[in-house]
Formats: sequence, C-alpha cells, structure tokens
Amino acid sequence: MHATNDIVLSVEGLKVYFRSEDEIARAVDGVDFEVGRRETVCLVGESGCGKTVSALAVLGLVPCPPGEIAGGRVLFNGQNLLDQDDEALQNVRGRGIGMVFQEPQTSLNPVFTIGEQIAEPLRIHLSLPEAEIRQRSLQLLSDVGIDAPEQRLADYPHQLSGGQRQRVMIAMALACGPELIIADEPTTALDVTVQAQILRLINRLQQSHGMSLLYITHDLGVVSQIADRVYVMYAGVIVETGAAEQIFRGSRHPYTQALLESLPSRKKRGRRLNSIPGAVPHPAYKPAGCPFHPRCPQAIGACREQYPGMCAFDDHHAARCPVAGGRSLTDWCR
Amino acid sequence: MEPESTQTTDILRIEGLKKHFPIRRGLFQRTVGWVRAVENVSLALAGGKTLGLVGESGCGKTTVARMILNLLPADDGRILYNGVDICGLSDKDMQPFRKEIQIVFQDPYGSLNPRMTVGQTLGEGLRMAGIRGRRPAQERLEHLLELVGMAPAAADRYPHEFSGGQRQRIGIARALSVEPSLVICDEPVSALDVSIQAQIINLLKDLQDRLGLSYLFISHDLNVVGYLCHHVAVMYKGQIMEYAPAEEMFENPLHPYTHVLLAAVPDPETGKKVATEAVGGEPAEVVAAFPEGCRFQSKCPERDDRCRLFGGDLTKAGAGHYVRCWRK
Amino acid sequence: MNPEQTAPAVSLEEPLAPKRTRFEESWRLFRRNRMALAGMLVFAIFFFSAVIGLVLTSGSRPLFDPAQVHLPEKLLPPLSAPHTESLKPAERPPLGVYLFGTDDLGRDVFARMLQGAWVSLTVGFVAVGISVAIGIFMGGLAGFYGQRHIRLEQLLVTAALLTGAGLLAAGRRSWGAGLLIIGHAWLFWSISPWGLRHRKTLPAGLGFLRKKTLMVDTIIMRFVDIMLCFPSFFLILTVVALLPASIYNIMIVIGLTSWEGTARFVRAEFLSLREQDFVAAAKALGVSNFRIIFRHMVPNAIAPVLVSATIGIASAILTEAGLSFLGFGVPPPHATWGNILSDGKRFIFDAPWLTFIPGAAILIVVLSFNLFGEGLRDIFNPRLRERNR
Repeated sequence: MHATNDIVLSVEGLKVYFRSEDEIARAVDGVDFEVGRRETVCLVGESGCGKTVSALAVLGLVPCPPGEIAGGRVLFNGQNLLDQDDEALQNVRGRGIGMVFQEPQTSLNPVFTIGEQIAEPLRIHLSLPEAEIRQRSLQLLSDVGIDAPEQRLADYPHQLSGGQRQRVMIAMALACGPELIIADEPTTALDVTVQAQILRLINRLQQSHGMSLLYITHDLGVVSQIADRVYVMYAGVIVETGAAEQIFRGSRHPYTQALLESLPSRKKRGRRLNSIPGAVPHPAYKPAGCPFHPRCPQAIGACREQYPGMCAFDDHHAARCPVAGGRSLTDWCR
Repeated sequence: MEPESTQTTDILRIEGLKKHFPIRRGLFQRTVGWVRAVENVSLALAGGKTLGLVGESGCGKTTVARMILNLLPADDGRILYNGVDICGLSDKDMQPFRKEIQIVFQDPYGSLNPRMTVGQTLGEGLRMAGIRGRRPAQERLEHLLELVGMAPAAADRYPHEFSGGQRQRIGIARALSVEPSLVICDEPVSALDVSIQAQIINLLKDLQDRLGLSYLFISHDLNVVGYLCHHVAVMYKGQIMEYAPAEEMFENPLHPYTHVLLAAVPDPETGKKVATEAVGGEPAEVVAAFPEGCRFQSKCPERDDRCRLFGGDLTKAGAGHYVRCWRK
Repeated sequence: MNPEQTAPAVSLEEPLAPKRTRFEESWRLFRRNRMALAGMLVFAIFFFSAVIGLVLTSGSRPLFDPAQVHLPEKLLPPLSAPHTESLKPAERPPLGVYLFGTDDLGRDVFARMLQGAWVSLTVGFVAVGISVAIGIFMGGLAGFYGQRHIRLEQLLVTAALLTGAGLLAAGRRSWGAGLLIIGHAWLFWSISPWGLRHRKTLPAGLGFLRKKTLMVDTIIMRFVDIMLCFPSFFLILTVVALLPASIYNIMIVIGLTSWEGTARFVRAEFLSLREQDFVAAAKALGVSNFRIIFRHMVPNAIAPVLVSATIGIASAILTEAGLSFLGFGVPPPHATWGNILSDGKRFIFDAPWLTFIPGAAILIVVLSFNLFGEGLRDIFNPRLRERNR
C-alpha cells in the first residue's frame, strides 16, 4: 500500500462531456481517483464506462471540439493539468507521464523506423546528444526484452509482431523515466501467453524504475494479477474502490458483484452464469438516480430518485451503494 | 492416430486435414515456400456436445472452421459429417449440407450486412431453408428472434442501431434460421463485454439444450472453454497438440503448450499472480528450418535436440486423452 | 438474484439511441454542408426547369417556341420588348418581353435555353446511367471473381464469338457466321448434360485447353487501363463524326467511354467487402454468387459510385456542350446549350448575351453538381459512418 501523503496523480471530480447537435454524452461524470508512488492502480469497467476518456483527459488528449472538460481537477505533482496550456502539457507528456495505448498496430507510425520513434521522446524531452540517444535506445529495447536490439532499431513496425510492438510502445513510454505510466488496455489485442509476458515485464519494470502505474482494462483477470488498488467504473462514475483483495474477496457494490459472478470458469460448469440483464446505458441517456438501478437486483425506490454517494466500508474500501451500506434516506447522497 | 469416437455417432469427424498456403514472391509470383496453416488435424465431435478448439492467433483454428464450411478448399484430409465426407465437394453438392452446418462469427460489427435490415438478413436464411410465403416467413422470423431473446420489432431495424451483444444474438438467429445441427462458433464472445459475454454464453447453452445443437467452439479464452465444453482440443501452429475431455484437460494437462496456456490464464477467483517462469522470446524461424520437428520447440521449456527431428503423433495417453509429444 | 429469462423481450427491445434511419442520419450530416445544400437546390431548380421546359417547348403550338424564326426580331438584348408590329398575337412572347433576348435568327433565347436544358439533363443522366451500369458490372466481376483464371478454352470461345460478330458486321458473312456457329456450339456443349458429364475427361491431346491463362482481374483491369489511355473527348468526337448525328448516339457513346472510374471504385469496394464476415455468412447459408454480388455487396459499394456519378453528370453535360459547340452534337434546329454558344460566337461583341447566358447556365449547373457530389462524398466518409458504434 502507499503512504497517503505520497500521491503522484490525483483526479478530483473530473467531468468530460461530448456535445453533438441534439445530445450531451456525459462520458465521465464526476470521477475521483488517485495513484500513489510505486503503486499499481487499475481502472476497471466495460466498454463505454468512461475509463479511456478519463485517462485521455489526464493528459489533455480528449479532442475538444466535440468534447469538453466540464469540471474537475487533475493534480500531478501539485499542478492542475487541466489548467495548463498545450506547451506546458507537452512537457508532462512523455516526461512526467508516459502513455501506452491499446492497438500496437496503429500507435506506431508505419513510415518511421523503431529507432526513430524511440529516439523522439529522448530528443524532445532530454535533448541528449545523438550517440547517447542510440545508447539509450538500445538499453531501453533490451530492458523491455526485445532481442537483437541493434537490428530492431532499423526495422519498421510492420516487421515486428504484436507483442514486440507493444514492448516498443512500453519502451517509448519509459524513455524519459516518467513517474507515472498510464496504460490503456495494452494487452487486449494480444494473445494470452504474450499478455502474460507483457504483464510480467511491466511488473518488473515497475519495480526497477520505481514508477506508478495506472492500468485501464476491462479484464478482471488481469486486474487480479497486477493491481494494488482498484477503481470500478460504470456509466461514467466510480462505483467501487478498494484494495484488490477487498474487491475480489468482498465486493460490496451490486455491479461489481454481478460482474465477478458472470465470469465464466470451469468451476461454474453445470451452473447457469449469472449475467446482468439489459445493457450499459448510452452516455447521453442515463437513468435518473443511480445509473445502475435499472439492472440492479437490489434496487429500491430511492435508487431511482436520488444519486447515491460513496459509502465507506473498511479503510480504503468504498462503494457507491447506500443500500449495501445500510444508509438511511437522509444520508443517501453524501 | 485420430481420436476414437466417444459415441456411436459422431456428428463431425475430421481426419488428417491439411491446408498449406503458398508464399509467392517476385514479378511472376513464383511459389517460394509454404505456410503450413493446418497440418494433419484430426478431431471428433459427438452429437449434442460442445468441442472446444483452443489456440492463439495464427494457430489455424479459423482456417479449420472455413474448411469445414467449404468456404476454403482443403488440400487433403476428410471431413465427415454424420459419416459423409464433405471435404472438397462442389458448390452444388455442398448445398444440402449448408443447412446442416452453420457459423457464428466473432465480430458483431462486421458479421451483419449494414445495408440490410435484421428482417432481410434473417430472411435470406429463411429463403434458403425453403420457407415461402409472407405469413409463414413472418411467423418463423418472429420465432427466431424470440428464440435469441430479441423483440420482434427488431426486424425492421438496421444493425447499427444495436449494441454488440444484440448483434451477436442476431448473428446466432441467422445461423439458426436454416435449422442446422452443427454450429461452429468462431470466438463468439471475444469481442463482447464481460456482462454481455455471460448473456450470450447462457443463450448458447440454452439453445444447445433446447434444440440439441452440437457446437465446435473456437476460442482463445480457456475460462469460457472450461465452462462450456465437453471436450477440448489445443491447437498450436496448425497442429493439434492435445485433445481430451474438458475435465481431464484442466486437471491433468500433459502437453507443455497446454501448461503454458493454463499458466497464462488469469483467474480472478484465486488471484493467482503472474507466473514467474520465463516462457521464451518471440517466434523464431525454427519451424521453417526443421519442418519435421515439433512446432512448439522455440518456446517449449522441456525441449531438447530430439525435438528438432520429431514432434510426435497424437498418441493416446489415457481415456479419450491424446497428446502430441513424444515425451508423454 | 434476478433469474435471467430466456426471452426478456422487453429489456432487449430498444437499442441504444432513438430510432433514426440511415437516411435521416445522412440528411442531417448533409444539411450542415452549406455549399452542398446549395448545389442540391440548384440541381433541383435545373431539373424542374428542364422537365417543365420540355413540356412548354414541345408540340406543334408550344407556349415558348424555340424554332420560331423572325428576322426583324434578331439580336434583341434580354428583357427587351418585342416589335409588336411585325408579330401576330400568337407569336408574341408569353411573358411580354424576351427574357433572354433573341439570337441572330430572331428566335427566343429563353425558349431555346429551356429546350436545351432538357437535352443536357437527358444526356447527363442517361450517359451516366450507362457508364454506371457498365462500371458496376465490370468492377463487380473484377472484384468478386478477380482471382479466378480464365481457361484457354474460354478465351478461345470468346475470341471466336467476338471475331465472328465483327466479321459478320464487316460483311464477311461466311467467315463470320462460321466462327459464330463454332463458338455457340462449344458453349452449348459445355452447358448441356452430356457436356457436363464429360467435362473432366477431355481427350489427351486436347488437355492443353484446360490450361489457366490470365486472371479475370488482370484482363478487366488492363482493359480499363487501355480505355483510359484514349483521350476520351477525341474518341467521342471520332465516333460521333462517323455515326449519324443524334442525341441517342451521343448519350451512348459518352456512356461507353466513361465507365472506367466507376469500375475501379466498385472493384476496390468489392475487394474489401469480400473479406467481410457477412459475405462469408451469406456463402455459408448457400446463397448463390449472383445474389451475393447484387443483393448483398452492391448496396454497400454504391457510395463511391454515387459520388462519381453526380460528378459524372456534370462532366457529361460539359462534354455534350463541347460537342454541340464544335458542331457534332444534336442537329439543328433542336436547341442545346452548346448550340446556342456556338451560334453566338460570331456575335460575341454585338450580342454578348448569346455567349454569357448559356455559358453561365452551364457553369452554374456543373458547379452545383460538383458541390453536391462533394457533399455526398463527405457524408459517405467511413469515419463519419462509424460514429454510431
């Protein structure tokens, strides 16, 4: 666990909306999370819950004509990143915070060699002399487990496999020794054995470089393997947060519980899987009150009317469900 | 050796299936080599049961599916559907079998024609099933939609108006429109969210119970396979590495690749941490250099030099349990 | 826990957003592009004036008479009043003034413009219709069957049929007829039951006839390349000069020489559509190839065709105007915009309206079509198409 006063990234009340002609999609609707030093925090949720948008918003990568930051603060080392202009943000991107994206095919530029792409953050942020850049690039490639790095520097992305490309992405994110890496579903497009290798790699690098990791995924299995703390998102809000143990052994929010119960495994053979009826609400047409109430087996009248607040269970374990938390109606929204 | 049939009537038996793709280079497209996508694959699926075909991307499982459907011609081997060899049949001869063997695809977004309504898409299947006349077709259409849990009003909508899970249901309805006995499910839930996966898996199971369908369930997700399948075959680079009843496969995996796969699968219930043993580097070119050797050598923790020369045939290692490794 | 029902029809009924058909979506996107909207409006005006113009200027006693020659009225500027003394009441312009003036033979330019509008419209649409039909056919064949090889026997039969027809047309009856008969005989034999049964077993010596030659894709695409090498305007000019001059010949010739672009678009779309799962699903259901191509794939491939068709209409109108200007278009006294331009070139300083009016009309129509086509291209942009995911 982390010391509460050593927080690298703190997101408070983040709201990101997307406006179109006749609707407002509230993709992220008041989200709080934080990442401590040397900690691995997982942001878990299904597609459409707003986790990727939250991550993009941290680095100011949300395209701002359709999107807008409707509120909140993103504190990185004391500075509110949402207030910074593009130039100041450029300094943070790649340098203070590194990012690894999901699709290794499209995140690397197909017309530049690997060497040129790894060198780019080094050149921009660290202004190293060329000889040292090459040295650093080779070191980075071997750190991420790519063999024959000298040859790889001259290769183009299409000559590498998916796993290798993802390793290169990780190397690029690490290049300038950032304090925090944000990884958005980096292993979703990879085979399961390659995924295991990449997860091991990330783990190892985190130990050796002392970085914090914000890992975004929909795969609860991956979360169970690497997370220190977990935030569960649904329809743009955080519905539960806690240490990995607490979430997997004793989750409180009906959504988290249902999600865990719907995971197939061979132990459940012969039994029906408990699926969640219905579908995730469209970000522009969310139900009133608790966003999960139409699908929730424990919903009561108040769930339809009032937006619930977070209820604490143990330390660092909280869930946005006053029913589970035994709250009275007057305390519902706290 | 092919797996013995577990029942007197296997609805599907594959023996020695082979598919090699030529690698062409140069101005005149000379064939310089072959990609051995599917090599000597043998499988058996009993009626009313589910056979899981597990493997990672590029192992050839989708190629096998396409050959069963005759969408891709096989180079060699036999595909016996209820005892009849349908491998290499002409389009005309394959027609009656098309009603018997159907497929559900992985990608809910690409598997439905964006310019046809749901009703029209399902209507194509009904046409092929010989349903004529507006009223019978309408009734059958509504029945199909209801079978997969969709409202009848869905028939007038276009695919883009539905979510991924709903589109997958429509895809299943399309496969069922000709009343098949064997349905090939090519990663049907891989592209879906967790909570929707469970809905679709439940649906597939219900349909199997209600309609007596047999499934060839292709997936890379061992958790789903472990839940749904009666038998499992593990495929790697075009070859079946292990074949066993599901329980047996998970309790007593024999092939080193199966071990690797199982170790790599995260299990939220046990919270097993990432395995510490090294699996090996990225694919090497060993397979091309030693075509007779085992295809898993480049990554196998138990390999030695003999593996270069001999990968082994599928040999029996227990009741209904076959493995391709000369060590076992 | 809520037990899941096998048919929870109610909870699964409505998709994510309120119902909006593809057409409505496209219309909303289109509306945002002002220029494209203007283009469409102008086209609508043009269309209606052409149709109405046809009605108003045809018949034995038309309202607006484009062929009425009155030399005393010649070369009057637009909006000028007629010389009522020399005109019978029935011959006076219905509006009281000559809206666009008169030409060197005293004919009402407005009436001629209306008549010419119809010609332009017809030439545009029919020519493009022909070229789109040919283009879809060729492109579809190349895209769908592209990888198949033509066997030598098929090549020989096609060559026999074509040369036979050619020879017959050129007058060499016996040779032509002979080749045609051989070609047809071979065709019927291969389709007949006797032929089908014996298909696989040709006599040893004739085995070479089964040999694969070129791919369908190669043949069609190289043909497209060859067609593109011809400067099409000169090709049209040549053909039109050789054939009797009529509006139909012009339309057909323009259509026959402008299908290449469409073919390429359709082929490209088909190549990517072929790999889509829904096509594989249709094949797995046993749907015939013909139906797959025309019912399943073509509607998806239409988008780029529509765009190039609208721009093609503009191009056809320009071509026709050019032909008429050069004197190879529709024969007089039928009016076309090119004709009017051509007649007016001698009087460009004395009666500039004879040049400006048809010139401006051509410009406006062609421009509006181009804008409309670009607007369509923007709507069909796949990035926008995917927004509803």
